[in-house]
Amino acid sequence: MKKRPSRYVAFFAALAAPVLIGVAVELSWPVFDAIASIFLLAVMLCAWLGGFFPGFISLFISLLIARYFFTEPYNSFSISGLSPDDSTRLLTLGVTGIFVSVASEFMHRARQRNEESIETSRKSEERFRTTLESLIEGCQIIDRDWRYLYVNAAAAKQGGQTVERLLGRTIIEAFPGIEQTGLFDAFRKTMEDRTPQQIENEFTRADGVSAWFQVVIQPVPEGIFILSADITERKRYDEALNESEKRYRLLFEYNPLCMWVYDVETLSFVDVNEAACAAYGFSRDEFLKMSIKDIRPEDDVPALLMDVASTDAAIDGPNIWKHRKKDGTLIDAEIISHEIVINDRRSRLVLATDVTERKRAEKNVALLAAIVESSDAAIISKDLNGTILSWNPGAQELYGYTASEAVGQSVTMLIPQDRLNEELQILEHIRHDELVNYFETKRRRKDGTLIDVSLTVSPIKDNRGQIIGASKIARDITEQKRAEEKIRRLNEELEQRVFDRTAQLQAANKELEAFSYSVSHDLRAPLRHINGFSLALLEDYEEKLDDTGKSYLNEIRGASYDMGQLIDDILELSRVTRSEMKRERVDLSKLASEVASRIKQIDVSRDVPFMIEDGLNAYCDKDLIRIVLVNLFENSWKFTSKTKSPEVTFGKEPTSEAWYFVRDNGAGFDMAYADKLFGAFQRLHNPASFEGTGIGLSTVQRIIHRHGGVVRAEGEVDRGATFYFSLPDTKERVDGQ
Amino acid sequence: MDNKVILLVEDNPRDEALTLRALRKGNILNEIIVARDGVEALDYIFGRGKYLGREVNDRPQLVLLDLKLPKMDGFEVLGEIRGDDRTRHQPVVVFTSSDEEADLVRSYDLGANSYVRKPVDFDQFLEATKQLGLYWLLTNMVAPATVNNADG
Repeated sequence: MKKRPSRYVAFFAALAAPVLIGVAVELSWPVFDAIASIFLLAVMLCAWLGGFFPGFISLFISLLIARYFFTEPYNSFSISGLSPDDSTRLLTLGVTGIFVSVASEFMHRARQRNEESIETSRKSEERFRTTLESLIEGCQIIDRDWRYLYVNAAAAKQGGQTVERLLGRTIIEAFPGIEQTGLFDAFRKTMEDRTPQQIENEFTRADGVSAWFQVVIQPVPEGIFILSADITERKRYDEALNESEKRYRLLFEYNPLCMWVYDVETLSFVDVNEAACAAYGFSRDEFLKMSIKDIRPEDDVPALLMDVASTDAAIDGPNIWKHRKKDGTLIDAEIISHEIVINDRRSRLVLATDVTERKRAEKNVALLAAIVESSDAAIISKDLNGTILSWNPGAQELYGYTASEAVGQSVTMLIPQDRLNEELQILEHIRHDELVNYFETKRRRKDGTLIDVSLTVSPIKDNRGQIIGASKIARDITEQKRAEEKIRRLNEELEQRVFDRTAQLQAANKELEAFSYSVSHDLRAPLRHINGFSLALLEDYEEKLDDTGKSYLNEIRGASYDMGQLIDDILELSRVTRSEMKRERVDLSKLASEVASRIKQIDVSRDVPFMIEDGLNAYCDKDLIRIVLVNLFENSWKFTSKTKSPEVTFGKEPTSEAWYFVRDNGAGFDMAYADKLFGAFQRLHNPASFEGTGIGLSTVQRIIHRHGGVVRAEGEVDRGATFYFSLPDTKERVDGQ
Repeated sequence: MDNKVILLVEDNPRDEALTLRALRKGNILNEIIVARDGVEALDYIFGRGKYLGREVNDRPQLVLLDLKLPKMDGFEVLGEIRGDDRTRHQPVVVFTSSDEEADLVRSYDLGANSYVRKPVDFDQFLEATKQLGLYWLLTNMVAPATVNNADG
């Protein structure tokens, strides 16, 4: 901007110009006729240069010079002698000069004002520019072709560029790849939608430096204006703050101790940690809908309210309260609370520890102590060196020493001299964590008498399981010893008696066996001989005997055969008694069928149907039960020999669990003799009508008795007989228990 | 070893008579030596006492041994016979009136070759001798002595 010449130049020109004009007019007067016009030039010059006052001064001087030098009368300022022409000329000069001055003044002022306004706006722009330049925020104006119109140093620095390198280039040229970024998307949005935006964005420069920016994007006519502030520091600070907050959050959230915060006024839970949720069984959401009254037994609520109202200490506790879990179980909780302010509300941070076990343990300890104290037995504890640590009244009673006399002494004072090594052995067991149980020995009382005691010594361990001593329970067993001795003697006598009796029984058994053996050999031998020699006689002397003689010999043989049969039956009876029982599950139906088909072989000409029920099972000795069935079936076979259409049935009583029966429609018997049926050698029929030894049913009875069962018979003469036997299912009964 | 002797160990004379009769009736013509008790049986077998000097290796074709005997019972006799290397293979048929299973089992345990129930039924006896492979030797005196030197 061109500077205007100073006022002083204008005023100097105002003085000088008329003079110069005057000199010029004087020198060339003849030529220069229009004086006024020439002076007016000077006035105009001065007015143009300086405005009204220089113009006016120049005019005044011009008028003086023109009057004095160029109008008649010359060399005088008098105006009275002026010719009318000159007057008109001077007046015209004056009026024109004033007009020119005034006009110039206006022109001046207008020009000045204009210049001032230009200056002002220049200054303002300068100021803005300086401001923008000096801003720490980055400013940039980007035109619609993404070309930088303006960018300040801060913005360039933020981009890792210089202003010079950015101006005139497009943003895409300056920052290759920026069009892929979210930042650019935001730019584009504002560029297109013409809506201002404010975003926070992390921008990674080409050189790999990454920084967080808060960016304000404003639409401007040229394109967009971007104001960006580097908030990396703030971000880091925020993150650090977040991290720290998170850490403290975690300290609360994952603290192994139960913690919660409640509002002092409403008593509702404000926050609760996981440990508390886990311990109490409520979910966090459930907790936050509850108040601290809800985890108390109802009876404790008034006390709780009073406590909350009265507590204003910053830290309160530890106090023990009863808390109720979700499942209703009550626990003892030790509470420490700390006043805190959350969201301007008075709250308390509560630390709760479940001390139920501890309380129980304490109670147990107290109980145990009471038991020890009140026990009749002497209960002593000692360390691994054998020094007595505790001594109960029972110990005083037993040994005669008081607690104050005994505690701190060595237990060896209770041990007779000849048993001192016992203590070492006991301590050795204890060191190896072994219990010494009912160790019977002798101990010495304070008065020197020896007593029999039974000791139970067990290791005492500390919290870490280290054995630190032993507890010893001693009982006076002097009396017991005496009683035991008596019992032992009685037992010995008893055993001797049992032994003697057993020996007698064994002898009797042996005799019985020898008898059976003798029967089977010796008793049979004469029969054998009778039979043998009768046969020899029949064979060797046949021609010398007549028919009567032969028939007598046959009778002799028949008699000896019958007696052999009798002996066999007796032997079987005795064997049945002596043999060992081998119980097993037996298919009775199958066994009965086998027996029946064998019996039918006795006389194939007879047709006796045996009806055998299916699916009969019993837990019994198969061989013995076979003998039972053989005897009963033979019996029925025999007694139906004179029946027209004989029939034998074997089955199980439907009403009873274990009653089996063999029924026939044979000769039957008179119920009056029913009780004699099962006696050995008892026969209800004479041998002529039905042969038999009368031992079979006795054998049956013995076998059933050995099975724990019973036999009975029902019958009627000529209307058949039914033999019942029971087989208690011992196996099932045992299994069922 | 031309001894075709059958040693019958039997204390009961009636049983002895019936046994001898059965054997004769069955055409067993061997010489039959009767021992009345266990000791006498062993005396014969080992050439002791009454039979001092008898050659032990001259063994009977067959010993018919009753179990129930005076002085020493049949089990003991059987044990002695089986316990001696010279008589270990002596054919012995236990010959008893007992039908106790225990006796039968014990007899076989001790090494009896067979078991025959009294009274001696010749058919049963024959069966036993057949089992022993002695039938030929006992029934045919003039048969070729194929087995004679078997134990040499």
